[in-house]
Amino acid sequence: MTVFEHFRTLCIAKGNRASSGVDWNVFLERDYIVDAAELLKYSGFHLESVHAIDGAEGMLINYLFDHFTQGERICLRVLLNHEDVTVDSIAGIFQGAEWHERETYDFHGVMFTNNPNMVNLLLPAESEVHPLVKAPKKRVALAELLSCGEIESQAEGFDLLNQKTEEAAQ
Amino acid sequence: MSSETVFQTRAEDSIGGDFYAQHFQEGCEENTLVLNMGPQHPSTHGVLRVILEVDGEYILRAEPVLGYLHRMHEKMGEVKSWYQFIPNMGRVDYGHPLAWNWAYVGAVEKLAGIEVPERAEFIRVITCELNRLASHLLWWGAYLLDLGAFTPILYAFDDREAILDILQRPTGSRLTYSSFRIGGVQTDLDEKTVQMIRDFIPIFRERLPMYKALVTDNIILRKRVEGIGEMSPDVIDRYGCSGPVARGSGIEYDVRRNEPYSIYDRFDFEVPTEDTCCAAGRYLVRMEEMAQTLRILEQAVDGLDKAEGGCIMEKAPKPNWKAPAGEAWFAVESGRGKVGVHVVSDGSKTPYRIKLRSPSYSNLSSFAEVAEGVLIADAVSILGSLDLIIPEVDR
Amino acid sequence: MAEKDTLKRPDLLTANGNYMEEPLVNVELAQDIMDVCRSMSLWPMTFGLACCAIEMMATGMARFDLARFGAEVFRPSPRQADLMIVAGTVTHKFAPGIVRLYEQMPGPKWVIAMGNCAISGGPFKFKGQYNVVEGVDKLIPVDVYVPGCPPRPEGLLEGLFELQRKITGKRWWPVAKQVGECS
Repeated sequence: MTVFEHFRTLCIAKGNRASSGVDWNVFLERDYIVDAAELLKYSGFHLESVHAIDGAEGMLINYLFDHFTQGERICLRVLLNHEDVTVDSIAGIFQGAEWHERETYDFHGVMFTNNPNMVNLLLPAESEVHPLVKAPKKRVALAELLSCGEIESQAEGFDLLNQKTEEAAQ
Repeated sequence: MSSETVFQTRAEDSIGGDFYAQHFQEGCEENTLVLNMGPQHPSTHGVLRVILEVDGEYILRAEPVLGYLHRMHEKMGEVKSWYQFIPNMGRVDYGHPLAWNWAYVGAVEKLAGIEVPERAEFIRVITCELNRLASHLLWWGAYLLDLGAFTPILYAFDDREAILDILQRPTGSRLTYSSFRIGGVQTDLDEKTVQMIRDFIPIFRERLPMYKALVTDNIILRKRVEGIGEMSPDVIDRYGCSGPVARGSGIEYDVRRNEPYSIYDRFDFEVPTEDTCCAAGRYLVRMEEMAQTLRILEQAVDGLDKAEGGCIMEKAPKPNWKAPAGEAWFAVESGRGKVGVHVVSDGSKTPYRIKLRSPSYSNLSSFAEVAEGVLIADAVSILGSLDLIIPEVDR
Repeated sequence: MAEKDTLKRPDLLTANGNYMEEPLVNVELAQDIMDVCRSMSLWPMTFGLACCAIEMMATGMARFDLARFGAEVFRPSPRQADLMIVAGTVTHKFAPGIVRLYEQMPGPKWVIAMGNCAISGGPFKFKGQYNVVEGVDKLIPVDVYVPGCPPRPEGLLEGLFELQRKITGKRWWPVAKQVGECS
């Protein structure tokens, strides 16, 4: 995976398009998401979607990028703590992300700093309800939910997927 | 009634309107007019509101306001069971519901590793392509109605009624189909339906040159769409546009060709592309797509007899079926662009998270940039050329 | 004005206590003829919200042809319409708009709730729902309900006939005969 070769990532996993639809899953720390988006824009990727999954370990934000000619789908994943669901906006690079981020704010309460127009998109204006946030006891561990595929590189201390790979190895 | 109960404008109330109008007006220049286009307006895209800042007839700034038809599909995905969610997919996009059916069912089948019998794949292709024709005809008629032509929509709906009569037989509905099932489709195509399709294809093929002569080559239409709404490939990349919007700007990308699903790699069809980057390009792409759809239909109907299997897999999932834990993403080409469904499952009887990625949402998000500096009438033309279906945008 | 007016007649007060003018020609035959004229030329407002809008358009097209029954002139502006066919789902965000549009229509005016969403929230009524108004009759008074998801154009036509029956007192068009099994 040459795009992120010299980039500081938490984990890179090679997915399987036939079984999960995504070619690469890249876990990042939240401070690096803007630089990663710029790298992908430079490499010719376009933005497919930004959405969140509410898991037991935290709120996982997924950024899906696809390429028109290379046929490669990359999913950038940022895990946020439930107490501090804030991340930088990538709307400066991919203007289409502005709406996706506003929708994620509507549904999950994630605040995207520097989004040029951070108001409710789909819910009524100034609505304070975030309907897709799960009750704490209904949240499921992300390790059980995600199908990231084979881990190619992993940073020290990143153990979100380890439980799953141990089970897969058995 | 005394005079105090009569409405009086208050001098300190300089900014009027609701929250969105006030928020929009904070960035306004001097001596401009703020105009609300919608949410109730005569073009048939649905409940879309666009706040415009106009200087005479020229738009300085535009901001779409969404959510007037937010029907909580993603929340229902977490509350309804795997089977109960299929009718929702019929209502997300009433123009091409079978594509959304396919996206959801395909994602679940990918997650669970289910293989669909060959005959069911053929039936899916046939019904989905017929639906694509109906969707493009609806777009065509409604677009021309927006531009002021009252005749083509009558012809379009007439052809559409023929398609709806055919599709009514295997699906049971006229508009919001939910006939796909996890593992196949709901009903097989009987002899009469196949014969109706075979009869329909040459009849429709003869209509297309008439549409071209009457409408596409018409000088009034050409002046209304040529050069309107320039969207360069950079705009397409930044907003993630897809479908005829991307193909009208020269990007040859069709999910059926670049990321083939089901049996689309067996069919011989072209992906029409235009280089003009304007509304005329998008218009011509869709008209040519209708001709290519007829080619796919012919090949699929011919291949249907030799297909193996039934219309649904053996031991198909029952209504209380649970998917295994994991996640899957599946993309499908609908009449509007790339439809994506991301399904996350925790092994229980309802999905954990369903994310619906709709093409009209991404296409519409480019409107604020594309509509700067255009006339209001041209903005109507741009909106029509994007082929929006608002329930898909608001979900 | 209404409280001090000693000439007010109780049957000319509306529900809110407002005073309604007497008709100029208060002869029953004239009023009946006016009712027939009104019901045979209802002008609907283009108020298609969601999927039912397409079936409403199909009803106006050549195959089902709403024009035969007088209701073909779809006016975009509520001030020129007297029939509001609510075709589609009403959400909390749009509810103030619907009430405003209804109030902008001049009387006499009627409302047809078309489709399950307009009748009761339809398929979007579930436990935990947060954005759909369960039936447009929670906001405005409805005269005729046309069920279906979406209702067939024939269903909408029957709804129109029912409205005409409500205005004039009788049904004007023959009931369709069943001609045989669906083949």
